[in-house]
Amino acid sequence: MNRLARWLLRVSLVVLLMGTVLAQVLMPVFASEEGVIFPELTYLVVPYSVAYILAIACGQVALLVVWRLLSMVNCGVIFTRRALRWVDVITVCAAVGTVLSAGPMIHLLFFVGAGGPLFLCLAACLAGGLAFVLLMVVLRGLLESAIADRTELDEVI
Amino acid sequence: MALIVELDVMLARRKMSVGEFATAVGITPANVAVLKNGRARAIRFTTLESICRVLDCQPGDILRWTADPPA
Repeated sequence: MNRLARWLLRVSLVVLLMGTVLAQVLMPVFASEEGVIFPELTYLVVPYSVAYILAIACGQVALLVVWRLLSMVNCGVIFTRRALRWVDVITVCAAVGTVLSAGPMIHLLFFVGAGGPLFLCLAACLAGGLAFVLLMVVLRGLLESAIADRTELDEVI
Repeated sequence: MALIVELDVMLARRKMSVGEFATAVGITPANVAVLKNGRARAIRFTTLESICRVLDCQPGDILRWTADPPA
């Protein structure tokens, strides 16, 4: 079951990665379409596209790190301090990705003066990003104590 | 470490080599060396039990406590 789960997780990581690449390609297209609908905001097409492409890139890095951690699980070396560094990479990616996603929304809401459902999107983005980062911090603590336990147990003869 | 594992004496008394002893107990020769050098920090009861069985002795015959010398 565990092996099947790991295999399926790898498959879904590949699908997700391809999906994010597609999203990165479509992002400028979508942004320029919006630019056509709102001609007065055309100057925002490029910076917003860049922000969201970078935000998605953060997600891609996190996906690759999950792949790396999965390899460590398969090799039985997940309970080593090296794993903590990779978990930190995911946490940083999540934080940077959240800021990059929220940035354009904050700009639209408070500097351009857009409104409506965008505020809910911003709230969801910030709450979701914060929750994910904090979850990673908690899980990192658990991994750290598991590493300490494993290291101590390895010394038992 | 204030607890000393006196394997050398018992091994000599039983005329056993480290390799033989390790195989009989079911631990690696490296771990036997760790026990003998006093670098061991913990030992399983099952390991202690097989050591006693192989050497036909009591735990007290191989474990000795000494007070730590004042630093």
